[in-house]
Amino acid sequence: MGTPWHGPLERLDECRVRIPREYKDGMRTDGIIYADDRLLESIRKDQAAEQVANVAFLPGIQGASLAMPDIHWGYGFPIGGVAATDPEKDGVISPGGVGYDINCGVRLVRTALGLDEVRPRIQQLVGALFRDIPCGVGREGAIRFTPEQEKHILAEGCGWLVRQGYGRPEDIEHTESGGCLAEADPSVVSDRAYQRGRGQVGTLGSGNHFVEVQYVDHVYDEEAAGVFGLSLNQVAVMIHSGSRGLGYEVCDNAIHAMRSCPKRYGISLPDRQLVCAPVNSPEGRRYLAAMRCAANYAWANRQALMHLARGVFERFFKMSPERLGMDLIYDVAHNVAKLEEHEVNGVRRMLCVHRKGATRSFPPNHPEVPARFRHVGQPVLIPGDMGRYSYLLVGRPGAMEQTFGSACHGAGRTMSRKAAIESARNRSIKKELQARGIYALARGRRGLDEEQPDAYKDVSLVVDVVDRAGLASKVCRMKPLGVIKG
Amino acid sequence: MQVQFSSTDMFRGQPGLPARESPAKLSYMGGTFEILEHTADIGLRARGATPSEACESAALGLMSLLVAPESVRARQEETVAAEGVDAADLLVRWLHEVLFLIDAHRRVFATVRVTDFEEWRLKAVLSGEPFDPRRHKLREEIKAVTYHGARFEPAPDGWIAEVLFDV
Repeated sequence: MGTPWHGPLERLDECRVRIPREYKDGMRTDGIIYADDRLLESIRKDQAAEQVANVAFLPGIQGASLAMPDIHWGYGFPIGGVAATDPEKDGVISPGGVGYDINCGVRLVRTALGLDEVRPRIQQLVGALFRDIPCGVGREGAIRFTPEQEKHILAEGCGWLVRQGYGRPEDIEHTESGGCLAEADPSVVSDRAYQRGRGQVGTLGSGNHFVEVQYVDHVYDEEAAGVFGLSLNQVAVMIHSGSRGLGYEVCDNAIHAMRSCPKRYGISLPDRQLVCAPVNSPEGRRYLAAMRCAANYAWANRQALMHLARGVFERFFKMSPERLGMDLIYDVAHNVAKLEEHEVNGVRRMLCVHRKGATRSFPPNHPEVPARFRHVGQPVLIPGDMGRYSYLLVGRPGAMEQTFGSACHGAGRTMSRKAAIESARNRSIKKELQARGIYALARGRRGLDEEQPDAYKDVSLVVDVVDRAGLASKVCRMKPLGVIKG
Repeated sequence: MQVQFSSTDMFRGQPGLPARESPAKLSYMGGTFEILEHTADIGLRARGATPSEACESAALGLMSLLVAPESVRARQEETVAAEGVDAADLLVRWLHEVLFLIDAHRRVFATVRVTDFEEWRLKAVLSGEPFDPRRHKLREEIKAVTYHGARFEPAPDGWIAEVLFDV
């Protein structure tokens, strides 16, 4: 594990390299990685590129097996991988191409507060968020639902939660797919998945999930920033979480249920974790119906987390919701498979787009972009590490032409968790962050050690490649002020 | 065979050695496990004189990633069964069963004993207690046991089991 990759990477242009399909018998198409020379150095360090080649084995794959510039070594699919398959051409769906944390994603909430109002009180504010937002391993939520109510969440996602009073109607419009994938069928979700997800709506979880208070420190596109209600030094809140135990179990159940599919459908795979079934097979349809439930659960989870955060801000600043102006800018899914219409060789096709650590990036005037900002494009939210910055971008036409409407999803790890813990020995990451003006609270010390800024690539290098390649363009950059982690 | 966690903190490894060369090994009654480097996730390599022992080691390795082993008391027993289409599948299914008990039933375990083993199914008795946030310091959230690079096979000195966890 962790051995450098020495396979062929041919440079196509300043932003892309190619793994030719001749590299390995069984590849149905090329692999294409979005990376400049600086990023390529770290990509070469592990087996992520081999995983790009492996994904090219999937039947019915269209275009290339793609990887975004934040690519890193995953299990099965690389993290940062994008693969589109055509269901009409024996195209498959692979649960590993979505991952265990189904619809892990990010939402960005603006506030009407300025940096000078928040910075002096950030420690107390972060303390209040930490107290009222359940985070960390095994924490249960402050909001409880009965099993019957959970079924509504699985079938109806964000909308159901908003109707129960956890948010505002406009939140739904500002969530990818309206916070609900249609044709989600709660009856195909196993009892075990329900058990693992019980009581977890409105919980952050651990690992790289967070709630972060940020401020806009650089604006690249004044017009677009204005449309999102953001300007220099304005404070925003970013939330990163997913479908919790329910999603993990749905993925596991599907991988287990599909174990004999490669043999049944004559599919040859280089990695068992890539197990898949034709989208139009009973196994494929069943997984899609369950995955959509988990995706809806994740949207409801982030909606509940935002609701809790809004409450904390209202009590802390003693302001009305109107004065606080905590409007949801957007919510994106970055671990998901969706049926979307794309053009392949000049023909419109309905494809199954897997995004495993990749963000949808739809351009201006796409009908799925909310009406209020349809003319600037879909917001693309890219969290960086705790110490540097995060970005707000908007989708560009290049994403539709090159990447089935996809862009990167984060900075990408460069250090293993174990190496990060070793490197944090005899240091206090909390104090180091504090010296940079960032107040961080985590349930365990290891949370901060594993997630320390040095464990990640510089997100600005990643975002630069996405911007130059024409997949999405920069709107503004946010710097962290305070963060809570599991 | 009854196996017991050692109180060694496996994450700290050997001081002064670079991370890659210090796979912190934890020994218990002839079996060991170690944590493997992976950029985003966590790998585990477990060994045992027999396949049963290797499965016990792997389950203890998983437990120790989740909770400080010395904080867990062996008070209640629970029986677990797992079955796979081959050796690697059994390993993944077995560890998934253990993870499910921890995550969904909110239990933590101090000891693991494989009572029946044949190709490729096993029965085991785990002994532990309900999770108590005041006494059990949870370390890591493990989302899943993946098949990526999973292997469970004879080695020169017994059996070796390797898996990658999604964290």
